[in-house]
Amino acid sequence: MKTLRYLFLLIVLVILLILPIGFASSQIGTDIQIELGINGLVRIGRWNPILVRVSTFGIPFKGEIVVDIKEGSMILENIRVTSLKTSVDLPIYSKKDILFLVPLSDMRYPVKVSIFSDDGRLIKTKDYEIKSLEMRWPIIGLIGNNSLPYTQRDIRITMLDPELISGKPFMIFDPLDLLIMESPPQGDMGESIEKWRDWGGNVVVGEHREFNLSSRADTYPGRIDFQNLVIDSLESEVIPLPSKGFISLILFIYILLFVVVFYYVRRLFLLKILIAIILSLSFSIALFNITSSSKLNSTVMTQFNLISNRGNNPFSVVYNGTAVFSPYSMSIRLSYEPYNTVFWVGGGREKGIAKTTFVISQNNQELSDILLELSPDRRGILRGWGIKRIGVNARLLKNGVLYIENDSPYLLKEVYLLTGGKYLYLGDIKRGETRFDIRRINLSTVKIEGDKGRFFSWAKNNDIISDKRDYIFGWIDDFSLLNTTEIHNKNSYTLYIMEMKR
Amino acid sequence: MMVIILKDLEAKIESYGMLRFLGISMFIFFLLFLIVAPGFQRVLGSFIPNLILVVGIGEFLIFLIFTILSTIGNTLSEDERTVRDLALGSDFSPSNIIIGKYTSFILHLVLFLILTLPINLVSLNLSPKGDIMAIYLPILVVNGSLGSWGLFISTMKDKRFAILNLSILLISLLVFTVRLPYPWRLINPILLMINYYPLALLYYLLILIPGLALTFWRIKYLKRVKDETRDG
Repeated sequence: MKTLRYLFLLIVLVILLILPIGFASSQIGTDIQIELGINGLVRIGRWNPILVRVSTFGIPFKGEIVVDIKEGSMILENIRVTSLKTSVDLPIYSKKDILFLVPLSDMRYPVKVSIFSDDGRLIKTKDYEIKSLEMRWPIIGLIGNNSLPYTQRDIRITMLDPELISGKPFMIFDPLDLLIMESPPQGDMGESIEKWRDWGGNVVVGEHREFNLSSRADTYPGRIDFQNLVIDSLESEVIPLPSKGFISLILFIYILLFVVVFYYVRRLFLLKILIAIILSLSFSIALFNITSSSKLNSTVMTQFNLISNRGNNPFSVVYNGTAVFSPYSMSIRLSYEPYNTVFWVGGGREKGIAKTTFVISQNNQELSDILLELSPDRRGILRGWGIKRIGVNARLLKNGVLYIENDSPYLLKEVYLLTGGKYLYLGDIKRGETRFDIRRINLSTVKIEGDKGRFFSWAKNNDIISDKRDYIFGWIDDFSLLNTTEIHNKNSYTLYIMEMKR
Repeated sequence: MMVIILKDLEAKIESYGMLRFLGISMFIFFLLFLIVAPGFQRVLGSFIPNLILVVGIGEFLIFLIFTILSTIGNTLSEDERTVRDLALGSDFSPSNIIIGKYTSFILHLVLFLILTLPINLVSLNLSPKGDIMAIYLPILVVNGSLGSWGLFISTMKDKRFAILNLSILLISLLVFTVRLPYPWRLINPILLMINYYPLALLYYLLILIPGLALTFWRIKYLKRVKDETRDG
């Protein structure tokens, strides 16, 4: 009997010991595959896909996928880590592809993909080194039973699995320089390829052997950094705090009223107490309402957008610099369009590693969120890049006529023509076609004041606008790469520059 | 007991001295707000002071003075009857006197706290961070416990020696203990509150109970003396 009791206790003990193992390994029945680039090929200067495929079997999966991209310099102490984050909730026996699109430029640091379980445990992590110089070589993608084309050296060729790219956003093709297909594309994949072609993608259908690899420009604009420009602009802003004079006046009236009531209402001390409480509560509610949103309203944001189109490309590259300041050190949620826009956290004037988290919602891919945690100096700097289809076409004809076709939804304001180092003011350009006979108008110099002037000078100093080339440039008022409803005090300046080919 | 509470509260509220004290105190809080509140400034070199902390410390000190002045006797309200007056000149029981006087003091303290609500709420909204209860709870507990010792002093005929002792004790606690090495510096009530809030509030309850017990003992003693004098 005693032996049986010990045996029973032993069995209970063993069960208790085994039980936590079952909880700890609740993610074992999950297969997670991670792939960076197209078939492992990455193109520096372009948007590269990171595909995470999660498959579940007997056990459901609930967790989070985090992609960390690091850039900056250790010596200059301006390392930035950007985290793209999305949560995954999968039932048993199901499969889900989660796609991240990130432009890659900094070859010094690996791209890190981590998968965490719901309780925060690290399930899987993978570091992708992108140091190889080959990653700058063009990529040709083949779809179907196509024979490999003869190519010169320094070109990479890969076969694309139609199943893998079907239903994905067109930006998944961005690392490619050329896509060769056996037959015209159909269905979802066809739509994506058509859209990519509209955006300047190079597609060859059939057994053609002649193709041009140099036509598609880099969509990731490299190291142009607005940081100093946005910081200088932000620092001259006034913090919109509630009026100190107004609040002080209300407080003074309150104290005066209290003293007067207590002095003149005699022999009714309970009434006095009641009046004092009512007075205090009324003024409390009034003053609280006046100042309750002061923390939120005192946040200031300055945004500079530069839309650059070199030589009538179907897409324009958008550079963005955003600086946010809040005197009350808060976290701010901002949103942007995923898959053709990305934001990196800035902060070169800060020590240590700055961090920003980007929340990508897989259910609603129209907008993604950024949770910007302001640094100890209460400032957040973001650098953004994107590609946008802005349909503006400009040509300088030989007969001295400047032809501008504005097919974009925007009104181009205060447009100038820059040719031969001289400027010509063209006024506002509405949608549609506009012609200027520039032989009869004298060219002059340009004078732009305020933040716009600072922005323009910066573009000239950084050789984005050069006197040796021909441009039209103007301002777009209602363009924003980055939006938030949390900040009421926003200054946004968007400069559109189009380099014209003679 | 209710008679003591109402009469005591009436004497306090109707007194010009108390009104002057409350008015001046509120004006000091207003001045603190006026000096420290953030005004017009640009992002470059901007500084948002912790207004609620400054106003909170100011209130803490003013409330200490308020507690001492309103409990040790009738310094601010001439018509108020002290604990000694009630013990010697009335038939109220010691427990009624203690509960009545202490309740009226707490009610007056709470009323004063309510009057500071507009300034505190504005300060809270304009400060980087803060918690309104982190101001009100320490003020209530510290002054509540100190008030019991004030009542004890009010049982004495010659209060000068007791007031002097209490003042020296308070100044020593608030000023000289700041430089002491850790953990001795935790004798300082403000440091203790900052480091161990809200656990530090229990420390003040330990101060409250002996104060009330001593006052009770003193009232009983005064009653006995009164009875002996009457019998004699």
